[in-house]
Order: sequence, then structure tokens, then C-alpha cells
Amino acid sequence: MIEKLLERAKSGDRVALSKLITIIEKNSEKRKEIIKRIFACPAQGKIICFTGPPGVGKSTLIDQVLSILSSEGKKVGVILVDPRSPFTGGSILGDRIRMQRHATNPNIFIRSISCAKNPEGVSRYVKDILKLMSIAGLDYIIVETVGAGQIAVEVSHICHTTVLVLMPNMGDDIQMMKAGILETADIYVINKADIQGADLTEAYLRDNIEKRDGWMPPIIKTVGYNKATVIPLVEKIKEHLSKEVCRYREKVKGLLKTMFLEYLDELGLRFLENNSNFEKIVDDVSTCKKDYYTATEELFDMLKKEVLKDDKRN
Amino acid sequence: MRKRILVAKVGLDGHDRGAKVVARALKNAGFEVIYTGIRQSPEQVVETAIQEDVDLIGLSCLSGAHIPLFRRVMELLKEKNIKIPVFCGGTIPPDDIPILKKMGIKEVFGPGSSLKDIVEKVREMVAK
Repeated sequence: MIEKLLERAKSGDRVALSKLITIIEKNSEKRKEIIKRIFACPAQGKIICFTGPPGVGKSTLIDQVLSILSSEGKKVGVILVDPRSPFTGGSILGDRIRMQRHATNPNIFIRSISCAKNPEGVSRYVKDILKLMSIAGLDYIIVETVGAGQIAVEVSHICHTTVLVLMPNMGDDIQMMKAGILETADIYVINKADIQGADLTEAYLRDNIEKRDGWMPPIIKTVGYNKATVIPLVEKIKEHLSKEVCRYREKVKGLLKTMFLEYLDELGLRFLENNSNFEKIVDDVSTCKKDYYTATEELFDMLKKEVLKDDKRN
Repeated sequence: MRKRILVAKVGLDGHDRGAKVVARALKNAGFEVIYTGIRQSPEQVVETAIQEDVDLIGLSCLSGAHIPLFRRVMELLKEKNIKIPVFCGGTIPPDDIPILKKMGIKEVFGPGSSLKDIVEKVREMVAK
């Protein structure tokens, strides 16, 4: 069934693409199967990430970018990530409300996804959905995520170009100097630039941006509802995409590192859950019979033995 | 996997309080709600339902044009061979309920409906 759906998705069938995304969301085994099948396929879709704090106007900017790209006859896919309630598991996915005028455009495909507030901020399978979309006959894939810092670092591994959206009066130069947020983006946008304070925000930002890998990240001031102000942003995105290729290997390295650590994380959690000695060690540490460094080393030794045992069995 | 529900208002009416209250109740009940807001055409609703691969469509209309608008949504779903159940709400006179049900709409929630009742019926509809 997956084979057939993939064939249809590759030829631009959006019902098939939509169904495949659902499979990736639902089923972790089939998810891997899909990725293994498509990984070697030529990926023509370039992935662009829009990130930044809630309310700065990411969705509205994407709406303008969509109308600019679609007027050039380009096919664009959009993935909108919104948070999921940690209490009820429910969510309101409301990003697409800003771009509903494109809902019936045959060149545009928009899909909303909810994500749990895990440390990475992005559902682990968002990269798989992006990978799938990159072979689905689309020219560009835009992903919108809330958040910054660590999350933006994570996202930047899977995207060709990362756009960080800010707005005036978000904080002074000390905020801008904080690590994380400003070190990952390829293009900076100060949206709502018609609000007083945009020039000062730009000045703070400019002091804290450095040239990386031969690319000086530009700062672009936009006004979300004014299409003319968004055209320079689209031009810069295209310019960056045309120069990006050289950093691809580096990003793959970052991605593999993250995925490997995730894998170890899951392995470790499973090991602790099934380890009968764990509660005993907790007792020892809580009564100060053992210090926590020794306890951690002992646990790791046990894990190593278990992995070796598994190896022999296989 | 959380069930996904599209909540949309069709036609030229801006009364979105009801749709927003229902959307929030469904979120609190653990559903994933895709909210498209006001002034949607039937074509936008159906295209969105396809792209979002939802399990249920909720339509709201308070303008009085619910019969032709909802009918068009049901026709488009049929034309595209999309089998997603539909429920609706709004200022709908009791006499219209049988007409809407005949179109294939599963449940109709008029003014005064309780959220508890809506959530319960929605659970039944997505379970089928």
C-alpha cells in the first residue's frame, strides 16, 4: 500500500501525500519504512524554516511568501507546527487561518501538525514529513515552528535555509547576545517594522550577527500585510538556497548526532524501566550509602553488559 | 494517534464565537482541532479537509444560508470520493434538521446545545 501511495505522491497526488503524512504521524515502524524507501530518491524540494517567538507574524509572512512563489508558478508545501497541550493532549492548530486564501490553489499544499513540548520542540517525525515532501514534486517546502534557541538548532539540521522572525521592542542588546537564538539563522527578519523601535532592534541585531561559512546573514525589515516588503525576503531566501549546498554535509553530521543521542536516550529509558536493580540503587543514593556518580557508573556498566549479551544472542 | 477535527465557518458571516467555543471544548477533550476561521467557501473547506487528512468536519453557519452551503460541501465530498463524516451547528431552525440529516450530515447542534453533549457525540462519530 505504501509503495502505491508513494508513486502517487511523487506524481503530485495530494490525497496520497496527505495519507502518507498521517501514516508517518501514526506509525513509527511504517515511518521508517517510508524513509528507507525514499531516501535515495532525488529530492528537488528545498526546505525553508520560519522560526521565532509566538505572535511575531510568521504565518502571515508565509502567506505572502506563498503568494509570491505561486505567482511564479512554483509548487510549495507548508508544514505548520503548533504546540499540543501537555494536560489534555489536545491542540488548536490555527496557523493556517492566516493562509486560507491559498487553500484551493493547486500549487500549494498546507498541513498542520501538533507537537508535544519535548526538549527538541519539534516532533521527532517532522524531519520525516519534510523528507517525504521533498520528493513529492514540490519546489519549496516551508516549515513553521514556534520557539527558538535549542529548537532552532534542531530544526536547522533539516532545513536548507532558516529564517528567524523577530519584531520591534523584543528586548535590548543583552537579550540579543544570549547564546542560541542568533547563532543558527541564515536570514533575520524584523516583522511589524512599521512599529516604532524597528531601527533600534535592527541596530542591536546587527551588532550580534557574524559572518558564518562565507555567508553574512542579512536583516530584512518587513510588514506582514504589505507584500512589497516581503519580496526582498523571498529574493534573499533564493540567494541563500543557491549557495547553501556546501554546508549540507555539516548539517547531516549534526542531524545524525542528534538522532544517535535520541536513540541512546530511548535505549537508556527502556533499560531503567526494565532494570530490577534500579530501585535498590535509588534507595542507596537516597540514604547516602552510595554517591550519585558511582551509581551512574554502575548503571552504565550494567547497560553495557546487557547490550553485549544482546549482541551475542543475535 | 489523536483524532483530527476541522472546524470551519462557511459563507459570509462573521459570528465565530460558537465555532471558537466548540473548538476549545474539543481541544480540552484531547482532540487536534484545525481551525480555519470565518468566511470559508465550501471548496476551501473540502480542500483543507483533504490536505489535513481529518477524521471529522465541523461546519458552523449563523447566516441562515446553511442549507445551500452545507449541501455544496456534501456534494464536493461526494464528487471527490472523500469519506469524512460531517456535523454542524449554528442558528438552525428545527424544521431544517431533517433536511440536513438527509444530506448525510451526522449531527446538528442548534442554539443551547451543551458542550458535554457535543463532545460525547463527536467521540461517537470519530469512533465509527
